[in-house]
Amino acid sequence: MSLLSVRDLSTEFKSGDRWLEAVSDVAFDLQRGEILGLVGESGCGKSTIAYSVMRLLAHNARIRSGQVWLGDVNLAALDEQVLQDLRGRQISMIFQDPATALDPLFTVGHQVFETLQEHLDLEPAAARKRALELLRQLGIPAAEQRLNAYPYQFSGGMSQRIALAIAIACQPQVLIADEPTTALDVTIQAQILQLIRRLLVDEGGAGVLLITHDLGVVAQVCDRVAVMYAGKIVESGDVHSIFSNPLHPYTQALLNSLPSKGIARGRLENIQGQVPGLADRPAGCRFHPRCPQAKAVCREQAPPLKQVSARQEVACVLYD
Amino acid sequence: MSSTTEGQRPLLSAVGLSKYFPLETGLLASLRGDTATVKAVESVTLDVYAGQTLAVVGESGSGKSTLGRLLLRLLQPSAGQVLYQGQDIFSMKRAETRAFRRQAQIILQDPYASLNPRMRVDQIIREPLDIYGEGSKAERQKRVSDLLERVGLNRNHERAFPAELSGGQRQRVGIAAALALSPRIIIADEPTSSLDVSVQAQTLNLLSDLQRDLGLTYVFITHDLSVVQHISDRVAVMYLGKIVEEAPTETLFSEPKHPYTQVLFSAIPLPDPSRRMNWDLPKGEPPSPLNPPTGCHFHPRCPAAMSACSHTVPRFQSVGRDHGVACLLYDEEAGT
Amino acid sequence: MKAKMNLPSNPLAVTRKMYHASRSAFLGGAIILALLVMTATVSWYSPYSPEAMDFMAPLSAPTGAHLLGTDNFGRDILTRVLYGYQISLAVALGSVGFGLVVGVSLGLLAGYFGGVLDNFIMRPMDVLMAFPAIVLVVALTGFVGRDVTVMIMAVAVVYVPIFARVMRGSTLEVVNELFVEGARARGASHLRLMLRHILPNAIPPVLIQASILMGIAILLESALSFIGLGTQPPDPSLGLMLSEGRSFMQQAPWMVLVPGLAISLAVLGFNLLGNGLQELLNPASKSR
Repeated sequence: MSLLSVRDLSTEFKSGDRWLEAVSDVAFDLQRGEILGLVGESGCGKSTIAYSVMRLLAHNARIRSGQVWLGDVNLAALDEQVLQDLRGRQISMIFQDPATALDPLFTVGHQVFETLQEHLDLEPAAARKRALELLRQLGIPAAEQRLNAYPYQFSGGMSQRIALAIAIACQPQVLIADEPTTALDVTIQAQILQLIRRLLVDEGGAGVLLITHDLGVVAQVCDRVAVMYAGKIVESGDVHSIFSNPLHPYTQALLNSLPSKGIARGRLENIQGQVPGLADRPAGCRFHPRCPQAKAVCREQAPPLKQVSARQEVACVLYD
Repeated sequence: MSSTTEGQRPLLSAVGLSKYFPLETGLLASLRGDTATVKAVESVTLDVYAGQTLAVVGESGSGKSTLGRLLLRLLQPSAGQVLYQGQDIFSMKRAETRAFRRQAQIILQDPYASLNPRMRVDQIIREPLDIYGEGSKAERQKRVSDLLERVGLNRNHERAFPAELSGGQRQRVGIAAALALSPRIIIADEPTSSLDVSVQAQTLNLLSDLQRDLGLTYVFITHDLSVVQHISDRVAVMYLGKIVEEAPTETLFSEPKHPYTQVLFSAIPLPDPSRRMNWDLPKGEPPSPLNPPTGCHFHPRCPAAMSACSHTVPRFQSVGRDHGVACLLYDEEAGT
Repeated sequence: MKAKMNLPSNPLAVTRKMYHASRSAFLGGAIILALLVMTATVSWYSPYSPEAMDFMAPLSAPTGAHLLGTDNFGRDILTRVLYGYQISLAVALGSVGFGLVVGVSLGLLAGYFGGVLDNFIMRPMDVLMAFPAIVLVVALTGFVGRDVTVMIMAVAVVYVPIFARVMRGSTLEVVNELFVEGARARGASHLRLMLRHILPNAIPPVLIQASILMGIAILLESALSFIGLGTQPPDPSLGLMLSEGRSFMQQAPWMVLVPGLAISLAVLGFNLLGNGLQELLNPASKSR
């Protein structure tokens, strides 16, 4: 059974008097011991999925329909009290800006203890010991002194390590990482990604939903990937298959627009036009106005995600 | 575009350029006479040739943005000179400074923060023309329309406020405003780092086209080595305020010499799952520029550090045609 | 989510947009506008003069002839309240207007140039700020005499440092924005940077403050008149009416109730407007 199973999830935002759909009928599974990448450009709804799964949506957003199964519990329909206990214990999240995830008024140690005591009922001494252990695992030098430091005394990379320590303190089954390295330098990014892979997946057997706009990060750390465009998953599958044989025209265009293809100077391929806003997403396949291979049928018919090979699913009429 | 620079005079050069920022210390500390400084840029020397692109690459805290601002005289240096066509921009008189400002422009990083939210697109693009009193009102308006078209926008965007545009469109407005006075050189500070990949590609292509058509010279400041490959003729790599390596782009990509450059390359996540990176390479965090390590600034993180590196400051020296590096590994006198 | 901000083209659309954007600003604005119109035109439609005494009906409860009753001299309270508003609003608008112009200029200069000029401007402001408003007003009226303009100036003097401080803080934030640096790189002069780029982007918090200080100015004017330092009888003033009504609280409670509520209504209007402006001008404070 999957660790996390999202079914037909639709989430909408209130804009004036209207509700606009940001995520439409999204479905995916996260398995034990894998990193699933959710990749797409800004505004495609990938972060909205993360916040929907955690039920941490802003008050102008709501899940319209769908289920989020964590084991046999549907998080989307769960009582807030029960959910609060699950958050942090069985499912945790880290964010793009680690500074906002840490409370500036308390020492880092306090924040780690708090999580441990709240969820695991540890004695203060045991909690302290576990906290130290966590900080050491995350490669924080001079962990003992660092426990008494305040968040402002940490660099971005160090803060993200602390946020990660808090997120994995109770050894959750699922970690949702929303652009965890976007604000960090490349050398630090590599360190954090390596930690996530080693501590959670290889040693902990957890599943990680990694939300990112960076195809390089996906290629380097993910096992499977789902590509999103305008609120829908357009293609998903094994990371090797998707990068070596992208099927959806959007995935192809996205990969082609990367500057690091090994060619020296020259024109980069790009996708004409721009991502449509929430209010003006086109009918039919949402990519059709920008698609070089669009047909007449694409204007009317929204293609569902279909299995095309053992390791790849795509939502495009070209593969019907 | 060739990267041959022999016999050509540079359009813009930095000579021993340094910028130290005094730290805001408490009253007590300043009474005691403790005045700490951050050495954001430390004796940087580089040349930018007409029609070419020099990329300045570095991570946060490397001083690359400060360097960009010094090159435009948006900051006063603590030491050193910036020569524009042989003339020091910091000792220019008022009229000369005005003339220099017309010829050297900047494109800023974050298109969400770099446009005045209370001005309309045409006002933003027209402002430089207004400042320099270019042409009649009708001529300016015509120029605004031409510029909009030049950067791939149209008349419908003229009366829009920045908030009504996407990130990519805003960056185009920023580029149009930088082009308004027909500058010769443009300093682009992370112009694509907050854009999505497909928009980044559009913007990089636009910058290439503009360079080709208008003969522009670029200094391209970025943290992203993969972008550099596409746009630049030469690359200078900065670490904690200093240039550690400089070379033509192909040379730097095929044979990076400085261990930091090598680490930087190895940490780029390649979009190719069959070539997964060696996770062990980069270690530690960049130290605070407040308190940089002695000797070579990189030595505590360097996989090839020797004992001499902790106390000897490596000098910048040539290791090949147009290729310079500041590392004791390549210094025959000091290294052995 | 970023909402598109399309500017509406006609006044009706503007009103509708305001109503949707912030009900509080809309309501506050409506109250203030209604009060302004009613008080400005009161002499055209009121059957009474504020000083006209009806000796047949002193201390009359609200009737058809005197909608909100009369006072101990038989003067129509509604008329007097409306005339009283003229002074209240004049003091509010005058003091805030003056305070805005002077305070914003000083704060902008201090924040933009910083350093010596900053100290030169702001240290005297700190001293002024430390002075209790009422004491300052008492001293000023003592020196110059009792007059509406004196009251306006007295309140304005208290307001200048408040506006200067808010504007300086706001300027310090905006001055570091990228677009200001961009304009500087394009050769913009200090004056252009301050007026074109910084002022419009730094002014919103000041306007919110202004609207709240208007309400406080009305309270200040009432308080001064109440203790006998403001408007002098027989001129109508809300504070004065309140003071005169105290002796008749038992027989004619409307004598204090009506001016009391009138003060509250105006203050409420300005505060609603202030809160609403805060919502409108600071997108982070509301969900988009």
